[in-house]
Amino acid sequence: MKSKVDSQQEESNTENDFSEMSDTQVRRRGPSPKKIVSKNKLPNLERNVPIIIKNNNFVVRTIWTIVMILGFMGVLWAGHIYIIGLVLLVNIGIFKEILGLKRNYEKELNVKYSSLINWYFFGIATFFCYGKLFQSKLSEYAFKMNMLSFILNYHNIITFMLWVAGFLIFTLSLKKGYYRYQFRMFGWTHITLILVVAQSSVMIMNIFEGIVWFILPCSLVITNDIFAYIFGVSFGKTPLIELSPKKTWEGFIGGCFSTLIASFCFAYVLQGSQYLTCPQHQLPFSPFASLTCEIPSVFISTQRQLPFSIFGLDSIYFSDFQIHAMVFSLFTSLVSPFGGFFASGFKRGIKIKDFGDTIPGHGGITDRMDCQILTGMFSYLYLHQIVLPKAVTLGTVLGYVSQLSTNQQQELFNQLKQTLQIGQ
Amino acid sequence: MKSKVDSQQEESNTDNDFSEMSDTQVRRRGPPPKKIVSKNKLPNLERNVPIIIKNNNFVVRTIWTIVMILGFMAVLWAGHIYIIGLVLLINIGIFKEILGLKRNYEKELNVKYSPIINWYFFGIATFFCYGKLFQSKLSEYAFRMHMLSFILNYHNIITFMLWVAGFLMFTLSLKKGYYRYQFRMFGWTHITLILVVAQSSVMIMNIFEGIVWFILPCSLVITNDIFAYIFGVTFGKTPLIELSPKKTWEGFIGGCFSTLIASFCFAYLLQGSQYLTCPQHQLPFSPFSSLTCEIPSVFISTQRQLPFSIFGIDSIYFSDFQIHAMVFSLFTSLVSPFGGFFASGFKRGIKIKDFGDTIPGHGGITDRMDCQILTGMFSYLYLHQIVLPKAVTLGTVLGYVSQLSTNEQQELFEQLKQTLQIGQ
Repeated sequence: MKSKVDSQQEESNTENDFSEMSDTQVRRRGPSPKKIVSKNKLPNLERNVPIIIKNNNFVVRTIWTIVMILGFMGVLWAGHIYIIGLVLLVNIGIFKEILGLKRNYEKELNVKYSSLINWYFFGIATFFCYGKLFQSKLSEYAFKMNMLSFILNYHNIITFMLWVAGFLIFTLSLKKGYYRYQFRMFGWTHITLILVVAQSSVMIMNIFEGIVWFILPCSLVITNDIFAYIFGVSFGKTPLIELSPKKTWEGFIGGCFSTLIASFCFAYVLQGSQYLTCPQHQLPFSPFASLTCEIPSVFISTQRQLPFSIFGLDSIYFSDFQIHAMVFSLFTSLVSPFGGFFASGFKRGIKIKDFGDTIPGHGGITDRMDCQILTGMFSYLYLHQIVLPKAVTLGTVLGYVSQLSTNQQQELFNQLKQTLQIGQ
Repeated sequence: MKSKVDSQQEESNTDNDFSEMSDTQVRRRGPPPKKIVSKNKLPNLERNVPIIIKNNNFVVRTIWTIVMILGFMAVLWAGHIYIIGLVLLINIGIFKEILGLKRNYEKELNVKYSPIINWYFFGIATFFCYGKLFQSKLSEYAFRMHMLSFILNYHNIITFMLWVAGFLMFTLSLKKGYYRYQFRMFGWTHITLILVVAQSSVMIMNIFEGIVWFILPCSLVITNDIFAYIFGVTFGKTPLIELSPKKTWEGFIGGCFSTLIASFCFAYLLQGSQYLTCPQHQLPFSPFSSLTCEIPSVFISTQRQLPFSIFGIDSIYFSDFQIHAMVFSLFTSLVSPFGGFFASGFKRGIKIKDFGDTIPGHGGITDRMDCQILTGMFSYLYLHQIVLPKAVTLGTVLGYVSQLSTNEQQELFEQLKQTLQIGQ
């Protein structure tokens, strides 16, 4: 049984940058010091631990999986504003974890404002993304609140000036001897904000277009994970990539095909629900509110003629949404494993096992979210550029109306009055 | 006279991360090894160099300043497409310099695809920004070219898929033992692209709205630099910030006020030229072509009544543009020095004197551009959110309203009724 020090030295020989770091220094990365010891010792122990304790970990892991899934479903049912709240909490958790990877607590004793500045930038990014959300999806809601209208019209430049203020404060806080550390935190913060806050804001915008556009990609990622694991365990032989030796080509391809079929069926199940498919333009605070609308045509199944007969069938009954779901599943099964490889390589590069230890048995929040990184952005772009018609909706018109002067609004009112009375 | 090794050790003691690095390792940062020796030795030599050689450096510097200014003016005169070409060349230069800061040539012998991947991401970023340019400013031009129209409509998702392809290639190229280096280059590339390519793309968008919106902020930065230097040399006593000991409060404030006045006058000079103030919606390839239009009202001087008499004058003759120029000058004189401090701190943090040595006497391209970083973004946001009238007029809104269904028009009517009655 190799001791921890030996294996670390072996790793060190291949990674030149760590050759000078002592054992104590390595431990200071990642979560705060008092928790690291148990985390870093786990890799070597796991191989030698008796079966009983291993099963305990499996049990804990399964329990928390169920807790997370049920909790997530509960929040979805509660309503859109609670989903925003959950995403915000998840963002805070991820940001805290990733920031903690690079923080040096000793240095921060001397540069006191560093963490404050980083959270300030987090606040600005969140403000910017929520503003974009209100501008595009909730413009009716904002129209009724005049104060909000002003902020929304000048949203971009307001955010920029706030960011510039943060930039000035950062530059003023630069302290001799700590430049390198401070710049590293600055860059680290900004990359994390782009990867995390931007991603989640597009996910939220999807939710307001219809919860199903959020559920579908997320669950396809999880489904692909599960199926790839099943196929890998049953048939796995050829390794896929040297980064993750446990992944196999059989698992990858099997996961790809089964997710394709699963997406077709799952989409059929989802498209019947009005609560899941309707766009939301209000922001009700009461939980478990209902949502009704005229179901968009993309969700309606129609009989489609096949160009040739398969098994004696001339036509299949499906909706556009099911086709879109299959496109999502293709993207997911091809790309999200790579998101996982990226995160694995990253963790190996900075020599940690998990991003944190928030969720028992699973590691940190980031560990659960790493496969979702790219699917959020893809579903947003696909939804808005390919699925949604570039139609004018009441929401967008109200957005423009709020920018008119009162005189112009009065004029519009009079003209509408004429038009509608003629129609009546 | 302190030897180089001594002063480096002294610096090392304050910046912990460098304590283990030998002299040879420090030299490997920045431009390729064969040029480093002379560059890094310069700081200490400058203090002891005879006056003759110092004056030579001053002469070289002045010559190249004139060359740059004249060259820049010629490109401006040549036409918009040549400006785009110049900005592209500058981008390539800056990206190459900043990338070179973090490159380790020994490691790249083993990870051969690393520079290709980085330049691929550069290409994607440039493609994205030029696409945005065509979408927003040259949409008439693109409308006539059908192939371009297709790309433009799906521009966002095409760019994203190309980026995902780059992401997959990067993940596949990860090589054991080099993870840390590869991730560092990945992050470094992305930060640089955001700071550099995004900034320059907004500058180009400003150019197409009227060359003056690019010339004005750029020259205000240079003007502020010059005036602050003059005031600093003449009156300078109190140091401004520990990062740059040569900057003083007197220089800062003096520069602020004189740039304010200079902007007012310079704006008056610029607003008369049609070539500089007209928006460009075509893309002529022939150089030195003219550009005419109806001069936008923002550039027209009118007599304005003052609320009180100053020196017996009741009214002043100026245009809106001159007011905007003063706002630009305020932003520039307050913020762009901090851009310079940021770059100084950064250079000190990674222990280089200059970003490169492309321009004799001045260092690299990045050294000339570092004060411009934030002004481009500010002028873009200011121009589009505050100066340009919102393209929303009553006419356009009525156009949208006519596309709504009768139910939605009724809904709009009700909402307007509420809003207007509350106002009345």
